[in-house]
Amino acid sequence: MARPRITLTLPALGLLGLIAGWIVFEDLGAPVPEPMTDAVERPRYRLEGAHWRRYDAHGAPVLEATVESIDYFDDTSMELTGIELMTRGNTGGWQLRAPLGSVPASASRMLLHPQVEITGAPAKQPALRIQTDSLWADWQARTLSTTDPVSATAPDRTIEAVGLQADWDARRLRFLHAIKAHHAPHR
Amino acid sequence: AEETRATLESLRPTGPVTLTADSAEWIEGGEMQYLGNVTLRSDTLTLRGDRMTVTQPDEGQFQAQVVGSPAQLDHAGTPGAQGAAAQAVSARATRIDYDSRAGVVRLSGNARLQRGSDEVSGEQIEYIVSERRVRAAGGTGSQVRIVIQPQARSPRTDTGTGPAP
Repeated sequence: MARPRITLTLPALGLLGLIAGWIVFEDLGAPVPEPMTDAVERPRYRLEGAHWRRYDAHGAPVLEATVESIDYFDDTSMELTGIELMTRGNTGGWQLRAPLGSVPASASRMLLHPQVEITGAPAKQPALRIQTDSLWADWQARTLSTTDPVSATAPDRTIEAVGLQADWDARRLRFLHAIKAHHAPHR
Repeated sequence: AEETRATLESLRPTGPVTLTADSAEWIEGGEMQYLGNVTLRSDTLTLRGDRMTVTQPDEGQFQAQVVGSPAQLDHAGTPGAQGAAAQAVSARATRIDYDSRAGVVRLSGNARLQRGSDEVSGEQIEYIVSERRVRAAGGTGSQVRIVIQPQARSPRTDTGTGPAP
């Protein structure tokens, strides 16, 4: 009487074999998912010789930049080279220059890095020229900031400090720590 | 007059000035505000205070306004000089204004200036740095108090020509 069980077991084994084969086939055929890091390091697309203007929610320009290249990545981060950026405040703006810049994923600010140069743009501002290793330009908070050492020059004076915070309009700029200034009045 | 002005001009402290502070703020138009442990040092003059505003009206010159509790001034004696010029001057007040073009320091509020054992105090005192000369003004309704210590009497010489006893 034992025979029906054997006959039942064979088709079941066959069916199992088919399913296993299908799974293996599926695995082989499926595109190999790119490793996450590779996707993030390789830009989705690149612009070269770009003029980049950003607007705020009301359509007013917040910043204008000319860049040698911009790499856009899938995670919305960006890497920029050869940056000349002008902040667009209500009454004026800073001019920023840096060889490199990076915008983290989904961020509203850019890290400019070395050597970053900042110059005061408005007419009333005597030429103020500042240099630092890195600088955050935040178009949401409309501020510039760094914690790096800073050196600044203006007519007849130089200023050394650590750390800096500035508005977007080039009207106020704070040197945060360890200030040493030299004035050289002449007759 | 031309010669005097030239002399004053040459005496006016125009050497480089060094300022140190905890923090500073650059305000539109070139004004700088220094905050916390503020010191301004020129070749002979030192100003100290809690806050200092420095404006640079025209090329080269600057005006410093120091506020402190109190703000302090130290003007070193001129090395190798004789008499008053050799004596250091120190002063303090609630506020000190220094104009590098005019070379004048104005002390306002509980002002007090000392040179050696002489002392001037009042609401407002003006000190002409290059001439080391005090031009005191009492300020509204208050007086100036000046204490000048008599010079120590020089000992009698043998010829008996010393000052009368």
